[in-house]
Amino acid sequence: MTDLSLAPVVTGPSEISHGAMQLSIDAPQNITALLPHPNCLDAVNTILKSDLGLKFPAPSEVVTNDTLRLIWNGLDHALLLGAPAPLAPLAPYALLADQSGALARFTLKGPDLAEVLARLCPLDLRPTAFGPRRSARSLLGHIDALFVTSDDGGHIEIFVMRSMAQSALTELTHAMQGVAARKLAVL
Amino acid sequence: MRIPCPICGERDSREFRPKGDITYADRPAAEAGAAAWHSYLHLRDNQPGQIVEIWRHTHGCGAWISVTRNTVSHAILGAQLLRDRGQDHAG
Repeated sequence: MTDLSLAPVVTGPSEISHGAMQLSIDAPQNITALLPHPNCLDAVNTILKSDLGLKFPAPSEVVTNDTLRLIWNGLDHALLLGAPAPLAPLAPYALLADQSGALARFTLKGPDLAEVLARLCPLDLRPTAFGPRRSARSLLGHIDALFVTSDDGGHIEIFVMRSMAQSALTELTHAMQGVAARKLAVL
Repeated sequence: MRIPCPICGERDSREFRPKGDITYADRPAAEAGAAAWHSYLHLRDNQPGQIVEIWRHTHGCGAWISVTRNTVSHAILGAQLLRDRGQDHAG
């Protein structure tokens, strides 16, 4: 099979900035989708706790240990990110799907985070409504996306299907340019 | 329009897709006969006022939900997970 992880996620630079905002783009390795089978959540939680020191995240929750993050990604669906982890014991109780390189990750940093994303996403992503270490699924323009805030709330990661990466970059670039231009106009 | 997803909380309606009347959640047995299937597929009262519909939080958590709303006042009166009603999704 073609190893998609070797190809760049988007054409052009993988880091851009407009105004006070910076955007970086990559396709992280070691992502596993974890979807517990019906009535298996307790068994999944027992194994997650004993083997990895984690638990299955509640809606909007991000659960972490030293090397791993388990991010809520929808109904009965979480993404495990970070170092390679021994997941075989979970196999009887959950669907495990390797998503390495399959998702594009946009990391947006800067003081105008909420203003940029307000142009694209119907969620209130201001820190007062969407605090540190939270996740939400919503829309980035017309693109399905997963939004994850960092531990300090200082940046937001946006995960989209890899096939949508170029469109997402276009949308985010326009939003960043628009906010930067408006800040200049106000000055 | 804002729809209260039981998983995600109140969200913008553009994240949701409608499936249709809640009748679709009660699929007849395969051998139920033509009349039952005709009713299931085609016959609706279409009265104005309070109705229950199936929606999916397509661009959010992906849950199938039943939404109670009023077609006259446009008020959204509540939503619950369809699987809590005893079925995983509408056929």
